[in-house]
Amino acid sequence: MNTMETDMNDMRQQSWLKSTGWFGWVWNLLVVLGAIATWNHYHTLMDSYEKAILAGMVPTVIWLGYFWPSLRTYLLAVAATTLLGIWQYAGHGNSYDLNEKLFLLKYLLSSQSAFMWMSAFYVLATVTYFFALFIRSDYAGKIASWMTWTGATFGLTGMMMRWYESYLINPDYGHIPVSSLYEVFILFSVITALVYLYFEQKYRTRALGGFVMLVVSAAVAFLLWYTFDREAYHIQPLVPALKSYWMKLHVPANFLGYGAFALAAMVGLAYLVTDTLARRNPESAFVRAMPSLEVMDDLMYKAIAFGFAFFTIATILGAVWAAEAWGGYWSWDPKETWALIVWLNYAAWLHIRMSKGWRGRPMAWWALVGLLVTTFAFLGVNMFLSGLHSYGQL
Amino acid sequence: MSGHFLHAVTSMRMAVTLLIMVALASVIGTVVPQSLPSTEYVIRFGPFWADVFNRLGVFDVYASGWFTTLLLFLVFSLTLCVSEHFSQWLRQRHRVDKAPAMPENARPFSCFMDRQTLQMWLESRGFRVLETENEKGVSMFAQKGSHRRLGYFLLHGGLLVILLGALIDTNPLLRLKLLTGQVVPTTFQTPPEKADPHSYLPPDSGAFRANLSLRPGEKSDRVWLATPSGYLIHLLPFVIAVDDFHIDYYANGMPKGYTTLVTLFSPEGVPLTRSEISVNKPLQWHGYTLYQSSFDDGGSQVWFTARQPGGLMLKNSHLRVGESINVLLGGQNWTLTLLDFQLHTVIHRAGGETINHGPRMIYRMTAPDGRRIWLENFLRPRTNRHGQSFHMLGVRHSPSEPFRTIALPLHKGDDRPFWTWLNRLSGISGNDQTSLLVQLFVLGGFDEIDRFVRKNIEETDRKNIKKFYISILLDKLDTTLKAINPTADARWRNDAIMAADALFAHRVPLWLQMTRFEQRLETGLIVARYPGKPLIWLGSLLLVAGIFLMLYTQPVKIWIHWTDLPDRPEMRMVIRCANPRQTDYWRQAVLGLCRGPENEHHGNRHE
Repeated sequence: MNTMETDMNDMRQQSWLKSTGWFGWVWNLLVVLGAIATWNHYHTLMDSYEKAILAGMVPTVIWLGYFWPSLRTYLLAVAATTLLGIWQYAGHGNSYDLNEKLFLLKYLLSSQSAFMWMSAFYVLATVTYFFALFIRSDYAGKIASWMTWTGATFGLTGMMMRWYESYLINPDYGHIPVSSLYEVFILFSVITALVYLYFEQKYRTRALGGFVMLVVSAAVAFLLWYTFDREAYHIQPLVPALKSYWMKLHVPANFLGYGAFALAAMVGLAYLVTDTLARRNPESAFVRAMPSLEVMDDLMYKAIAFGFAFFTIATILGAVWAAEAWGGYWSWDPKETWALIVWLNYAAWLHIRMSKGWRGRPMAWWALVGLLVTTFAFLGVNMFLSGLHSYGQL
Repeated sequence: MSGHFLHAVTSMRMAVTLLIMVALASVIGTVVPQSLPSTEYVIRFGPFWADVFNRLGVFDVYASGWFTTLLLFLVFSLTLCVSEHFSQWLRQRHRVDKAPAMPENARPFSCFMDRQTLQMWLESRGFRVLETENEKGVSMFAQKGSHRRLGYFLLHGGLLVILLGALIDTNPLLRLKLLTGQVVPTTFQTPPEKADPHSYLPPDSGAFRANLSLRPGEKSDRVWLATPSGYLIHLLPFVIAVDDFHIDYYANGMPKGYTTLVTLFSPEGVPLTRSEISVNKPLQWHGYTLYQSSFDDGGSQVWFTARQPGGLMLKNSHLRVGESINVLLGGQNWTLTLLDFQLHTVIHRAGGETINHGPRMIYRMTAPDGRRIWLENFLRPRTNRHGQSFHMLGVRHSPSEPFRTIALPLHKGDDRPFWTWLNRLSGISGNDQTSLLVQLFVLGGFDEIDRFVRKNIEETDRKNIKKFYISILLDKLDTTLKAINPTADARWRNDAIMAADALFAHRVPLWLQMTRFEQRLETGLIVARYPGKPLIWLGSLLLVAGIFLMLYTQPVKIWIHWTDLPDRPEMRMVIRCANPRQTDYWRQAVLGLCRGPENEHHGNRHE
C-alpha cells in the first residue's frame, strides 16, 4: 500500500507552487541568493558560458528541490559544511597547507578528510543495510539510510572543498574536480548513492540498499587503493584539452548515466538472488523481506531508462565538445566507441523490454552484464587502451 | 517472399541483432590500434596475419566496407521500421473517432458513477475521452500519454537524421571518385611540387578534415589530406597566414595553453579576418573551422660542446632540429641528427608530483654499420643531495626503450677534469696487467672485465680473480683521477668512475652538452569542413526529446461501459497501463469517484 500512496503523490496533478511549502520557498530564496552571491564574488573570473551555466543552475536546482524535496536538506547540509570549510581556510590566510594545521580541516572538512569520512560512511552503510535486511529491523535500516546520506554529504562537500583547494594551490590550477579518474570516482560514488536514495524513498524499501551500496563500496575500495598506493589525490593542473566549460556538463551527465546503470545492475543482482531463493522456498524470511520481483523488475527498468536518457545527453555533449576541441564530433576514439557500445547495449535492453515485453531473470542478467560493459567503458578503456581520453592512466 | 523479407528486416529481433552486431564490431577497432603504418602491423602480427587482417579491414574498421554495409543495413532497417509505424499511424488517424474495442476480460462491479463527472474528471487529468452509445449501453474510452508515439518518431527520426549527417560527412562523393580513379592520391614519397594533377581537390569538395603545420610567418592556401595510399591536396578558398604561435606553461612546466594568431586572406590578398585560435576555441569561417591541434619544433637552434668519450673535445658547434651532419669519430664516419628540442621536460612521479628538468634535446647517432643510438641531453646541471652537480645524458638503443641516464660529475661547474681523465684513460697502452685492464674497461666498462674473466678463467677461480682485477683497476682509475684533479674529493672520483663505466658500457659515441638554445615552434592546425554538422545537432535534439517523451510518458487507456439493467445500472471497467502499479493507481482513483456521499451504500469496491 505504501508504494501506491507515494505513486499517488507523484501523479497528483497539483500546482507545484502550492506544494512547495514555506521551507521550499525559503530554500528557493536561498538558491537565488546563493547564485547572486556567487555572481558577485566570481563574475569577473567567469566567461559568458560559465555565467550561462550559473544562471541555468538556479531553475535546475529549484526544480530538483521540487522534484525530490529531500535534496533540499541535503544540499543545505553540503552548503553549510562547505562554507564552514571555506571559512576555515579564508579566516586563516587562505593557504593550502592549512589542511594539515587546522583541526576542523585536518579531521573533517579538507577534501581528503571529507573523502575518508565518505568512504567510512558508505562502507558502514553497506554493512548496516545488510544487517537490517537479515534481522529485519526498520531501525537499523533507518540508520543505514542516514549513513548513506551522511556519506553523500561528505562526498559532495569534499568535492566542493577540492574545487576551492585547487585555487589555493595555484590560482592557475583551479578547476572543477571532475577531470581525473580519482575525481570522477568520487563523483560516481556520490551520484550512485543519491540515485539509490531517490529510489529508496520512492519505492519505500531499504532492502536493496546493501546490494546497491556494494557497488559504491567497491568504488570506495578502488578509491582507497588509488589514494594510498598510487597517491592519485594530488591536484594537477588541467591539460589544455580539458580547459572548457563543457567539462562541467559532459562529465556529470555521464556519471548520472553510469550511476543509474550501476544501480540497475545491483537491483538485477538482488532480483536474481531473491528469485533463486524464492524457487527453493517462497516463504523464506529473506524472500519476504525483499521487495516483490515485480517491483525490482520495474525499478531496474526505471534506472536503465533514466541512465539511458542521461548517457545519451552526455554522449551528445561529448560530441559537441569534441567538435570544438578536436576538429570532429566523432573520431572513433576508444572512449567514444565504448560509449557507443554501452549505449547500443542498453538500447537493445530497452527494445527487448518495451517491444518484446521480456521481464525477469534474463533482463536481470543482462543488466548485470551491462555493468561489466559500463565498467570497461569507464575504467578499462583508461587502463588498457590509449586514445584522446587518456587523462586518468593507472 | 518480399513481404517475408520486409517483415524480417523490420522485426524487433533484427533491430536488436543489428544493435548488438554494431556494438561487437566496434570493439575490434578499440582493441587493434587503427591506421598505423603497415610495417608496424607486420611487426606486431607477422606478415601472414597482417595481410589477412588488412584484407578484412581490421586496421581501419570504421571505414571498412563490411562495417559501412552493416551501418547502412541498420539505416535501412530503421527507415523501414519508422515508415511502417508512420503509415500505421496514418491509417489509425482516420479512425480517430472510433474507440478500440473493449477487452473481453472486463468484470462488472456495482457502483454508480455519473458519466459527466467522470468525463470532466478524466479530461482534467489530460485524458482524451470518447463516448459511444449502442443498444448494449453507453461506452466511454479515455486515453492519455499518446505522446509516446510522437516520442518514438522523434527518437528514431532523430537517429536517422544523425546518421544522414554522418553519411554526408564521410564524403561519399570523394570516396566514389577515389574508387573510380577520377581522383588519384600522390604517394608520400613524391614532393608536393611533383604531385599528380588528379590529386588536387578544388574548394567545396565536400566534408574533409586535414592537418596543416605552419611556422610563424608562413602561409598556405591548401591543406594535405592523408589517404591510406598517399595524399591529396585540398585547395582552400582563402589563405591561412600564421602571425604568431606561443605556448603558455604552468608553474610546474606543464603546458597550459597553445595559441596561434592567424589571419585569413582572400586569394587576392585582402585580409578577411584575424583571430586567436587555441584549444577549445576554434575559428569558424564560412563553414570552415580552424582548430589548434598540436605543435612541433619548427627548427629550433641548439648550441653545444661536443665531447667524445676516450677521444677529442670538439669545439663549440650548433645545429637546427631536423638537421644532420657527418662527424668523423675514431676514423669512422657517423651521422649526427638533431631530432627534437623541448623547453620543459616534466616528469610525473608516482603521487602526482612533477619535476621539471628544463630544456632538453634529443639527438641520434648512426654508425657506418647502421647501428643507431638515441641520446637526450639537458641544458641544466642537476644537483644531488650531497651538493654535487652533474651534466645529464640519457641513452637508449631503440626508440621503444626508456632512456637510461648517465650523470657526469662536474668539478666546480666544469666538466673538463672528467673528460681530460677519460682521454688519459683511453690513451693508456702497454701490455702490463693494469694497462690491459684499463683497455678492457675503455672497451665496455666493468662488464667487459666480467666478460673477459668468463672467457679466459676457469670457473673455480673466476670469483677471486675478478675481485682482484677490479681492485687493481679501481686503484688505477682512482690514482689517475687524483693525478688529474688533486683537489677533488672521493665522492667526485667515485661519481666519475660510475659515469665512465656507463659511458663505456653503452658505447656512447659523442656527448653533446647543450649550452644555449633558440626555440622556434611550428603550430599544428586542423582545418575541417563538416556540412553534415547542423543535421547532427538537429538529430541530437530530436533524439533527446524523443527519449524523454518515450520513457516518461506513460500511456493509460481506460474503457468503461454502462449497461442499464432493470434493477440498477451495471458498470464494467478495464484499465491498461505500462505497469501494474499504475493500473492499480488509476483503478483506485476512478473508483474513488464512487465514494460520493450519495453513493455510500454502493460500498462494494471490488470489480
